[in-house]
Amino acid sequence: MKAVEVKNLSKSFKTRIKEKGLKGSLKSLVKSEYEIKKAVNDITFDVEEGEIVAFLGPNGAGKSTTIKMLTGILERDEGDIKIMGIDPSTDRKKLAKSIGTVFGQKEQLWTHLTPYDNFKFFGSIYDVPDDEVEERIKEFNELFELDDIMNTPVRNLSLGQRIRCEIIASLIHKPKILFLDEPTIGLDPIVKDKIRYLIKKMNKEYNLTIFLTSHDIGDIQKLCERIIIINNGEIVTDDSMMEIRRKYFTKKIIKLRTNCEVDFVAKEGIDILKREEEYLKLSLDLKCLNVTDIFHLIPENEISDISVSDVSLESVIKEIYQSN
Amino acid sequence: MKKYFRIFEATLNDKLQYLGELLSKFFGFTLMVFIFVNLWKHIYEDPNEIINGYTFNMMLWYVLIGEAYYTVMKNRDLTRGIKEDIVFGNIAYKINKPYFYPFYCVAQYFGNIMLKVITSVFVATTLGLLLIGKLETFSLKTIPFAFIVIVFAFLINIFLRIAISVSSFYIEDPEPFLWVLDKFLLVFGTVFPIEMYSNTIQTIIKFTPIYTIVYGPTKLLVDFDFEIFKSVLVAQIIQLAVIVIICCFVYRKGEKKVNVNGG
Repeated sequence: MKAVEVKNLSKSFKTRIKEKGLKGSLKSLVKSEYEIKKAVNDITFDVEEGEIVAFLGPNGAGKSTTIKMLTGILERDEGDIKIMGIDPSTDRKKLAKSIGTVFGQKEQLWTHLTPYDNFKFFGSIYDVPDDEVEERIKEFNELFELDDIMNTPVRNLSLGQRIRCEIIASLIHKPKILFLDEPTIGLDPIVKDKIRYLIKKMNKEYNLTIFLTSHDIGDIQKLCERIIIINNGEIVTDDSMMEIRRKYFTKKIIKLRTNCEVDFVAKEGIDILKREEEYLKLSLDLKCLNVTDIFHLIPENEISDISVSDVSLESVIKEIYQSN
Repeated sequence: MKKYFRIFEATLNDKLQYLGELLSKFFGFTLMVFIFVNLWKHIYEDPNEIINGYTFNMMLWYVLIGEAYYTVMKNRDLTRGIKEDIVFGNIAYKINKPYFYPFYCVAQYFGNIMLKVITSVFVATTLGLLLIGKLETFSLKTIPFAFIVIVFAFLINIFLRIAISVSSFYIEDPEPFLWVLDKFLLVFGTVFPIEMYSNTIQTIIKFTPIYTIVYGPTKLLVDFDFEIFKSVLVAQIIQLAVIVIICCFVYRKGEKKVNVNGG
């Protein structure tokens, strides 16, 4: 079964436009002018059950609007959406029970309550029987290691602890899909890794479908099997991570340290990114050359150190954004 | 229903953290009561005088109970919260939960006022006994009847306030409307019983929420009359039905206008 089915989805926003200054304000009192901005334009995609998908895009690309339509917050203008077979605009209540949402920048927990009270609260909100809630709290407590903080008011928790609790609160009703909007924003690297590990574990153990938006490349690299990129309201890339690697990771970054200053001249397939006295940073296009070809260009005995790495996913994504 | 009870419980739990703040609010209430008691002492030159059906003792208790009602009812925190939810887009994160937002607000409202109700009953009774003396016309038998109209009064009050607050979907700031509502409730039903006004004004008031929210419950506690009870209750049932329909209609229409940018 498909977890998410989106067909020809579109959404526009009507915004009032006003000329600048007092004159513009007075003019808009008499005659208001509006501008229609297409936030999402005819997008189509599916997500399989159990998949972890990254939904990316620069600011203002339409990813937030899309997520909000998928989670039943915003009404669509055109197109079809089915989340586990449910139409968000006609059956929002049923949808709410099938999905979990974590918005990294919006707190859902009641800050004066303890995590335990919050989980009980969310259990009741989702009509989960008390004994089942207790069982799940116990299960999540072991998995997320919450023993020390279970009875501490949420307002006294660290950001990382809060996010862990937010994730549990959104899973207490055993949703089939979890929508994560910037779940690791503001967290330190160690806590980020912990959260990613837990998300991955939830996906494996419960076959939970995860739909993630993030500007953190680490989240995408460590969690996602597929990337959908949206820009100007349109999907510009929808590929598996392997396909992205095959298509876009066509360059290698080579850093060289030499014994003496070498007279290196760039040729087709090689760009010099940085040159210092005895240091060179090159970008090598694998479509034109092999990595070992570098030894034909610089004699081996002149190289004292060499490192070869892929271009970063961040720069690939940046390239995709910019090319669209 | 259980979920709404949990919302009520969580809100009440929250309010328990701020008990000191709640008690400080009664300082203003005490001051108001003190001023009005002295004002009415001047109006009633002879303590045995009856003005528009009210003895001196009834009038003071009316003002005291009315003022206590008014303090509990207005609940600006909740209406401001609804406005902010809508204007700043936080409502987006509440409408994708399996509850109905206006009912969520009702549950929150009762959680918000529960402690205030208990405290105000205690403070108002103590103040009344100290400043005025026993309410001469009070009978314990009237409590169940008064309780019914009080519950209806609270429901009409909150649905009316939610209906005004959710108009934030259409207008930037509903505060002026809430301010006008508060002042009408204060002037026409709280500090003066409606009998103090001309017949024309009294007739108009009987068709408004002033009659069902403040006047009805206060009058029945001070001077119970079964005919007034029936009249208030019928008006309350009709008004509640109309206001709930309007509130749900305004909310349902507005919900489609949710527009959340960024993120």
